[in-house]
Amino acid sequence: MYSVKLEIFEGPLDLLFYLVDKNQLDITEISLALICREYEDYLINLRKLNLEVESSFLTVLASLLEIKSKTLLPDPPQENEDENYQRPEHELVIQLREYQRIKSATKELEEIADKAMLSFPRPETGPVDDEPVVFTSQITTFDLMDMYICMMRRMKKQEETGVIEMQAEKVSFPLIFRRITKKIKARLSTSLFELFESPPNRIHFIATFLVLLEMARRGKISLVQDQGDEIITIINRRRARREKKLEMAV
Amino acid sequence: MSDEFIAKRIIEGILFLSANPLTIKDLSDVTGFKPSLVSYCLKELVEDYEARGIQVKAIAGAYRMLTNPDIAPYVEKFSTYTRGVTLSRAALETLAVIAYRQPITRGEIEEIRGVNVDGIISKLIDMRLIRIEGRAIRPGRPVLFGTSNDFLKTFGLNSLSNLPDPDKTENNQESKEGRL
Repeated sequence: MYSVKLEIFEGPLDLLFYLVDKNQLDITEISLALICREYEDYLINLRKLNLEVESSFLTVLASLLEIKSKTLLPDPPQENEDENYQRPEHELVIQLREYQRIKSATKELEEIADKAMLSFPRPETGPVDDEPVVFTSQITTFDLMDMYICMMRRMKKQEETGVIEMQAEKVSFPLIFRRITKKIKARLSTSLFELFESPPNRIHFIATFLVLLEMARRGKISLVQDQGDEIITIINRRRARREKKLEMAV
Repeated sequence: MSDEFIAKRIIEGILFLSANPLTIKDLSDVTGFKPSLVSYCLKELVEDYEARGIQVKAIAGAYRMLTNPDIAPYVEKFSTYTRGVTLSRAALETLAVIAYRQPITRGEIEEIRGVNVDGIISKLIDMRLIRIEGRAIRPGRPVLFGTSNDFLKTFGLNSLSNLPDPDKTENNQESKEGRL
């Protein structure tokens, strides 16, 4: 089956917003008869949509009818006669108003993006880094997973050669954190393999991975992976900044 | 010549030479000037260049020289710089929701937009415009999304506080008193 996605209306709110806007209505006083009819017309044309999409449109239509029926009924008698009493707004009205704000925010964003595109920086000149590196943001979860599998395989190999000692082990994250910090402190970069102690231990393994991820998240380290090569290197960011400074000063 | 005047000239020169954006800290490290002095000079430079063919602009916390947008038709032929970000209306709208309401969960975005946003979210993550900020402390621990540094760069913003206020600039819609 060939399904066409209509770019114009992204969901029921978008349609409703369009109709309200087109008919120059205030969303707080939606003239429901008109809106409902147009809304329904549109729905009928969309009959071939999938169930989920159609039902979301129908929910909004039901809300419109609910609003309408409420406006037809007199207000319930108030216990304390308050002149400023206002009928509580229907959820849909609140939702629609929020949507309207986002619409105008979108327009703003579009404008500043267009403007930003019109400013040009200096092109990069001078020596280009010949080491192709991929920075933290580009290492995906899958790369880390591959890495983990690779490490496990290594560990297995070592396990096979020796006697395996079973022991209940407690892992302390602060301890591992300190150990990693100590190892990477003196150098700019450290290979991931250097961080794992021998004999290899699965629990330490997992804990070290978790601590590394946390450190990367806090911006203490960057994880770098040479393209082609599968080894992840840990970059000490404080050190990197210092070296960059020196480089710039030269 | 006063100290400020000298410092300003030095910083101007470095900004001109650098192909990369420089933070106040970068400039302070290189020149040995106090960050407060650097920041003062940068502020001056931003003003000085306002009406020129080149602007000094802060983007995502770092300063660089850029050509003025109003001369774009003439200079773009010379630029080899490609930015190439094209976003669909739906993606832009979702991005707007995230930018203005961050940190925000997927469910909350869908509530505002009234449609499923799964596909758009992963696209925006792929484009590095948004990122996962953490998880909300509530049942289900839903993932919270926020905008990234690349978002600021793409939109030429210095920080999120530079986002235009949609309530203030909303002159096309007659806004009623009942704002939320």
